[in-house]
Parts: sequence; structure tokens; C-alpha cells
Amino acid sequence: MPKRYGTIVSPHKEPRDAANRSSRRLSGHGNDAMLNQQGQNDVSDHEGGQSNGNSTAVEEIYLPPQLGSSKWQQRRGTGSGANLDSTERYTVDISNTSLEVERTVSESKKSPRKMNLLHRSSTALCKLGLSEAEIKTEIENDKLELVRDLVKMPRKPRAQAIRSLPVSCDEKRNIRNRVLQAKFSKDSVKRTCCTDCSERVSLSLRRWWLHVWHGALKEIGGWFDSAVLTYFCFIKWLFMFNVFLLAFNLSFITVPEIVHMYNSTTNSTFEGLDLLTAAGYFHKSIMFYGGYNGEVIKAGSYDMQLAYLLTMLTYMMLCGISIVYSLGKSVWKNVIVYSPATGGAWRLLCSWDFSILNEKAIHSFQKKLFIQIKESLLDTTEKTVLSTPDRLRNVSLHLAAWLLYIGLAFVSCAAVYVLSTYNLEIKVALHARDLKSEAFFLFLPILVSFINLVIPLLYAFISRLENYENLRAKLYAGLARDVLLKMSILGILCYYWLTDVPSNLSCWESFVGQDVYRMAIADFLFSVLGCIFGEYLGSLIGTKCMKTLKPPEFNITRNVLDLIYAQTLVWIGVYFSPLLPIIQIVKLFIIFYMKKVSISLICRPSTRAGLAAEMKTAFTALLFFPSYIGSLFIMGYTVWSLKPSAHCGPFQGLDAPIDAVSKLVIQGKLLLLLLSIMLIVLYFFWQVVQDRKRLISLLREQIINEGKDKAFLLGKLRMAQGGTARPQVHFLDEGAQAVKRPTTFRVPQSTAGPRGLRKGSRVGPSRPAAAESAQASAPAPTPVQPTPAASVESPQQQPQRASDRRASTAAQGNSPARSAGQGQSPRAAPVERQPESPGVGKGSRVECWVEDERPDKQGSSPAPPTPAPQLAWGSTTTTPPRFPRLEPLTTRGAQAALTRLSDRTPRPKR
Amino acid sequence: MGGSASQLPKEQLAEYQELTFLSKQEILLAHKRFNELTKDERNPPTRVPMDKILALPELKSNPFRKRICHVFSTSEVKDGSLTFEDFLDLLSAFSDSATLEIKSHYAFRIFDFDDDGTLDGGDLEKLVNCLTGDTDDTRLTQEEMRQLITNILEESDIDKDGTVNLSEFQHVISRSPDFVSSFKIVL
Repeated sequence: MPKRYGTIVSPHKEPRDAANRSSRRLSGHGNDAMLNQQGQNDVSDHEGGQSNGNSTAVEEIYLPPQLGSSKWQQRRGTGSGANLDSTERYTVDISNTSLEVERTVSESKKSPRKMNLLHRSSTALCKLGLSEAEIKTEIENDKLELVRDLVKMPRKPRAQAIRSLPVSCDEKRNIRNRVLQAKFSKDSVKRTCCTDCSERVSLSLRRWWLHVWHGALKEIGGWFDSAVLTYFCFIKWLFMFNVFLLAFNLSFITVPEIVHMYNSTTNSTFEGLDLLTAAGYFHKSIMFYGGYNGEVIKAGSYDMQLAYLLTMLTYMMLCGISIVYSLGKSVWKNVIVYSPATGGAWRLLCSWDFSILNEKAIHSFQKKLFIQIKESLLDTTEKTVLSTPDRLRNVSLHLAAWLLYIGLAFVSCAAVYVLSTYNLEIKVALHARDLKSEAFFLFLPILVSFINLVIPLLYAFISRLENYENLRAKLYAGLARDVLLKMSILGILCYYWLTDVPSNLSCWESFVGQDVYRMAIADFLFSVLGCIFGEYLGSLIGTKCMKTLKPPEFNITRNVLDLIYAQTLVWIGVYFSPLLPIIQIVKLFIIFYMKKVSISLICRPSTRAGLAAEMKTAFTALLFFPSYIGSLFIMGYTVWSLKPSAHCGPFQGLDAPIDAVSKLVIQGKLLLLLLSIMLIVLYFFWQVVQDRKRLISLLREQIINEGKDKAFLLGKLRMAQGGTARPQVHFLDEGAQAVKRPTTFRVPQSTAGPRGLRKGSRVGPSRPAAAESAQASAPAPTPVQPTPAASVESPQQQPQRASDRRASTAAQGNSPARSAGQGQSPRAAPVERQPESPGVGKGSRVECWVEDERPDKQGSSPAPPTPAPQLAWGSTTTTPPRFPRLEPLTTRGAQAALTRLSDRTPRPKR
Repeated sequence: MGGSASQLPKEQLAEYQELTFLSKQEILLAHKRFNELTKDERNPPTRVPMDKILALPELKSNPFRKRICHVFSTSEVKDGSLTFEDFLDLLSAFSDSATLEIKSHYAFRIFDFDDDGTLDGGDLEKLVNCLTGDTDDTRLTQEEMRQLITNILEESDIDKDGTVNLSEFQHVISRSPDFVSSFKIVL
């Protein structure tokens, strides 16, 4: 008995070991010695015959303890056909709930499962005590199946699927070659020149994209964690935006203008100050709106008005699509899968950054992790609950702080507005060139940049008084107040530009363009100065002079917000100054390297994990919502509602710039339409997210149920082992003996309680019947002759078993369910055929109970074609699920079964 | 050995491109770097011993470096030595474009210190020690470790068998969005 008890515990390990071994061997990472050992072990196990029979039997019956082995069970159930049918009955097959996450391309939906089959296939066989050769044939079968599936796929997903096999290169090559052989012997698909070409182009584009700043990014990744890297990737991304914008503007607006330029004479001389103020010499240059003349060019073949408008609008559209796309992608990746209730400890454990190379950085990273792990331990052990007065105090603190923030933002807005109207007065009064008053224009951008630099620091200071409960709330609050400040300043400026300026100036677009240019320049200078003084000096002071004052941390949030602000300026200003992206490109380029140097000097990464992925989503969202949408709105307003100046620019004489297009386009609100399409797309993403969330909670519930169920069954089994009353498992043995197959399930009869007997008598006939019918369906129907003395079949029978299995495997391979690509176990069918068991779900896990009560299950073969699974994916979800492939319906079944069971027996505590 | 990058035949390069997640440049770079490891020998062996691989700056300080070598090695004697193809497998799994499934699969095997197919208490303890560094000031006490492992199992051990298996691990990983970006080694 102790021995048996030992086996009931140890098997939990057993299949995994075997699975591991097999997968390792299969993947070429193992060796044959191991295989031999495994094979021998199993054979010897079984050859132990009667004396060893008990333990074998227990092993056979054991309930798979974890989901990983569910695949093993599934494999065992589906692949090994008739001979295993009886075994199958007792396994708790939760294959339907396997947590297999499909991440490969959607078209290759089937392949991951195949992959896993390939992986674990030999486990079952090892368990059966098959010889090495047989295991090899079985693996070969699996491979054949895999190859067959792969052949059916289109080329691209197939390549992806092969690539995604977690096996060694050699093995992958092997599989690919076989696939290709099969493919080309059937039909040789000719690759068209077009697809080749497009592939090459996309590849080279991607490569180019990958290699911009590749080395620098790697270096940064070597120093810091991915949160810092996010910032630099963001710079890279914005850089690309601006390069495209510049290319657009140059090729469709500037170059045609230069070619058709009729008078390139500007009556002003160039002054050094012009570079900063953009006034004087640049006033009528192609730098700004005023330098483009629609009327003149229109006489030729190129319609400047149209070009100007359409270029801007197309670019903005492309920008928007790109942002929405990446936003959707990162929301998909990060927000869906994130559930705040869990993941504390594992989040930390999985957060090791393999790209960190620097020894020092590794140590600081380890330290950081250590602190965080300790904190997480504290969190779980003692959760402080705030008392009501404390909470009240917190809330009032937050309120006061926010009032202060808003007040500060308001004051700065007022200052900006006053100064800007004063600027305008000077401009209106200005008739001849006056460097002094032009220099005065610089005050406004300097003020704005100063506000942008100082007020956030003030905010940060105030926020120290606040008491945030967690890091995330603090981060987002900081983000919110900084965004509030920046956007309110931009808002007031836009108000000034679009209402005050047009009514007072003759060539107002150019003036606005110059203003934006000055802003961009000032912002650039301030960020450089801020970098030098704030970060370099700060770190010098922190490391050299005052050791107590630590060097400043690299504040990702503030830096990213600065970038977003600058990008918003560019988007707003690009209509008034088509070459503005040049400034931004130069600026981003310089900032990239400056920040790189600065962080390497400071070298003090933030002490907390940065929530990198989440922050990235937040940044992209910010770039989309206030920034992009705002500038799109402003551009739209300018184009639709503002009267362009009468004496300069491409749209002279028109009521609104859009009139140039409306000649061509039907008076539809094109922009509005596109905008709404974008919003719809966003809404769609949002809906999908919601759907997934719901589904995930459902699935979680189900998994928990499965776990409980299994624990319960395990408890039962243990009870049976311990000889406690009312054991549930022993009927198996009775049943098996009743049908002359006593050997595989040898559980002591002495402990069989009356209940077990009753059940056993019911279930008895069913198993062999199923087995026989399965054999009948196989091409070589050789009824298995049970050998009472041995617990394993004679060696002669093994090849037959293999062939049976092959046959059934093949049958499954062609079953509609497989081709439908839905991951439901083929074994779900028998349940469906039983109208007498209502309320029982279609999960095969439940089946083991259901089948036990169905003595007359003659017609069901072990591998019947699976009916189309009833999936309950969210109604709006049209995309293939990228989730654990679970059938939510099983939950109900599981619960039904559970309640039925718990009605009968009190559930043992585990 | 100078123009070693050109030694890789074109067909083979294309094949590697198809079989791994690496781009052409990355494969060529990997080939170059791999050849550099063996260049001082007269007859470059197909297998590079583990200590040479570990000397690569990309792996030098990584606390999991030995595990990585062992997992990707196809060596019969389990000495962690890598062939060029193993090396490509390694880089492919750690590349930017590898799928979450691949990454989590290999992460699981890397974290499975005793190669038994599950992450049990011992594995988790080793994992935590690797993560926090094995110095005295960053080592957790026995009590803390026990608590942490309990937390981890509570979080991820869905079927309550006391260990974390591959599916459970992948499930957990799928909820750590930072994982894909941090499970990355670039040559």
C-alpha cells in the first residue's frame, strides 16, 4: 500500500518528465541515451506484470495534475486509439481548457496545437511502454500530420508557423523541407514577380527602420531597462514622422514652387537675428505660407492650391492612421492582458531585462528587483487600510493641489495671452524693418518655454505634499497635470493665432508660421539648456559636491511630454510653415544624442520599474488625443472657416482654402468623414478590448473551476487509495474485470465500497464496447485479447496498436473539426450524442463522469468527427481570438458536473 | 578569416532567414560574431564551447547565461556548447520579432533549472536568487523566500499541484506586457 501511495503522488511528476524528455529529444536538445532509458523504463515497468500491476494501474488512472499534461492526455486520448480507450475514460481530460496561447499569425491558427502535439506526443507512448522504434514512428506520424497541416496553409503563414516551432533549427529545416516537398510535388505555386518585389520592398523598409540608431539603442538598452528605451524609441518614431512630413512637403509643395518661382527677389537683407525670429529675410521665403503663390502656378499645369491642401491633409491622415494603428496594437497588447488583481510577483520575475549588458546596470537592476520583491512581500502581508479622517485629509490635499495646478496653468495662460496681444500690437504698428521690435517677438516663445520648463518643476514640488496610494496613480496624476498645462498654453496660443491675428494682419498666415517657428526654436534651445544645466550640472553637483543630493533621475514622463509638445507645435504650424519639420528633425536628432550622453553620465535609473509597456500606451494615446486631434482640428478650422489673406499665399481671393478642393470634391466634409472613420476604428478597438476583458474573466472563472474540479477528483482518488469509505475510483477495476480487461486498471478491490460497486456495475460494459467499436473502425480490426497475468500487452500486439493509432490519427486529421481549426477536443462528440445527459457541457473533462453513467455507449468511436464547437466568443469579435483557447461553455458543464458531484459527496478539502 | 561574412552561402542564408526570426543583416552579423569566437583556431570546430560563448559581451554579465547556453545547446554531452545553428536559434528566440509563444517557451526552459519540465520550489528559488543577485545584501531570507514562492504559486499555480508548468507559465507571461520587450538580446 505505501508503494501504491507513492505512485499516486509521483505520477504527477511522471508525465511531465516524460513530456520534457520527449520534447527535448524531439527538438534535438536531448539525446538518444535518454530516450532509450525512457523506453526501457517503461517496458520494464510493464513487464513487471502482476506484481507491478497495481502501481501501473494507478499510474494509468491518475488524474493529470496540471494543464500542461492535459495535452498529453489529449494526445493519449486521440492518438492512441482503441487500445487506450479504456484508459481514456478515467483521465480528466481538460484539453479544452488548455491554456495554450495562440500568438502566431491568425491564419496559422492550427499550427500551435500541432506544435504542442509534436512536443508531447511521445509522452503518452512512453507511458504505454512502447519501444524506441515505436515512439519514433509515432513522432513521425505527428510530424506527418504537422506537415500535412502546414502544406495546406498559404505560404506566408506557413513560414511564420514553421518559424514559431519551438524546436531547433535543424528540426525546423527538416520539417520545412518535407513541407516543401509535399507542396511542390502536388502543385508548384509560382511566385509572381509582384509578390517577390513587394516582399523585398517591405523587407528592406523594415530593415532600414530597424537599423536607424540601432547601435545607440542597443547601448542604451545595455544601460537601462526598457522604460528608458521607450523614450528613445519614441524619439525615433517621431523622427520618422517628421522625415515623412518633410519629404511630402518638399516633393509636393516646395520643389514645384521653386521650379515655378517667378520672383525670387526678397527686398530684405539677411540678418543673423532672422534665424531666430524668422522675420525679415524669411518673411516671404518658401519657409512660410506667404512664400507660396497659388495664382501664378495655377496658370501652369500644377495646381498649387490643390497640392498645398491635399499634401497637408494626406499627411495628417497618414499620421493619424499610423498613430491609431500603433495605439490599437499596444492597447491590445498591454491593456487587455493587464489585470490589476494579479501578476505582482510574476510581473517582477518576468521583468528581467536580457538586453542589459553593463555590469553596473545589472547590479542596480538586481537591487531594484530585490527592493521591489521585498515591497511586494510587504504589500501582501500587511495592507494598510486608511481611516476615514486620513482619507478625507488625502482627498482634500489632492483637491488643494489640483486647484493650485489649475490656478498656475491659468496664470501662465493669462501671461501668455497678454504678451501675445502686445506682440500683435507691435506687429501692426510695425511698417519698416526694425530689428529691435523683431527681437521683442522672441519674448513670447521664451516665456512659453520658460513656463514649460519651470511650472512642471513647481508641480512636482507641490505633488510631494500629496499622498498617492500607488505608483500608477502618481504617475498618471503627474502625466495629467503636465498635459493640462501644456495643452492649455497651446490652446490659448491657438486662440490668439486663429482669432486675433487674422483680423489684424494682412499676411497673417506667415506671421503665425513665424510665431510657431520661434516657439519651436525656443523650445529647442530650452531643452538643450535644460539638459545641460538641469541634468549635467545636477549630476555633477549630485556626484561631486553634495553627496547627499543624489543626481537627478531621468524623468521619462516629462521628457516624453516635451517631445509631444514639440510635435504638436509642428503639426499645428506645418500648414503655415511647410518646412517646419526641418527644425523638428534637427532637434530630435540632437536631443537623441544629448539625452543619450546625459543618461550615461547620470546613470541613475529610476528606482522603480517603469511600467514600460503601459507608459508606452499612455504616451501614444496622448500623442493621439490632445496632440494629434487638436492639431487636426486647428488645421481643419483654418482650412474650412478662416478667410485666407488676400495678398499672399496660395489661396488668394478664396473665401476659405477648402474652396480650392471643393471644386473637385463634392461638398462633403472630407476631413470630418475621415476623422469619424478613425474614431470608429478606435471605438472598434475599444469594443474588442471590452469583449476580451469579459471573456478573460469568464475563462478565469472556468480555469478556477477546473482546478477545483481536479483537486476534488484527486482527493477522491486519494481517498480511494487510503481505503476510506465510498471510494469512487474502484469501480473502474470492477468494470474492467467484467469485460475481461482486468490488467490495465488494477486498483485494489478490497477497498471498493458499495457505491463504487454500484457505479462499476453500471459503467462496466461501456468501456470495452467503446474500445471494440473503436477497433472496428480501425483498418486492422484486431480485437485485443486481454492477458490476465500481464499488465501490458504482448510485444506482438504493439505494432498493431501503433497502426490503430495511426489510423485514428489520420481520421482525426481529416475531421471537419480540424479543418475548421477550432480547438475543441474531438472527444467532445460522445457527450453531444447523449441527449439523456442534459446540463452537461461539451467539455470532454466532464465526459469521464458522463460516460461512466452511460452503459450503452456503443456507437461512439474514440475519435469521432467533432461537431462544430459552440464558441461563445464575444459577439463583436470578428478577429480570431488570441487567447487561451477555452470553450466557455465548458464552465457550465463543469459546474453542472460539480454540483451533481457535490450533491452526492461532500467535497474533501485539499 | 577576414571576410567571414561572405562565407555563408546564399541558399543557406535564405534558409536561415526563413527558419528564424532574424533578418539577413542579423544573420550575417551573427555569423561574423560566431566566426570571431573560433578564429584563433586552425580548424574552427563546428561547436563552440560554452565558456567562449559566455565571453560574448551580450551574455557576459547575464545571470542566466549558463542556462541559456544549456537550453539552446544541441550537444549530446550537455556541455552547453553551441553550433552556429544553435546560436541562431538563440538569437532568433531573443530577437525583436519572435512571438510571445516562442519567447515564453524558451523563458520557461531557461528558468527550469533542473530540466524537469516544471518550475517547482527549487527552480523558483534559484530564479529569484538570479534576479536579485547572489550577494549578501540582496539575498532574501528563508522566510521571505518561502513567502514569495507561496505568493508566486498562489498567483500562477492554477491547478494547485505545487509547481508551475509551461501552460501556467505562458498564461502568467501573457499578462506581463513588459516581458516581450525585455526578453531580448541584440547582437
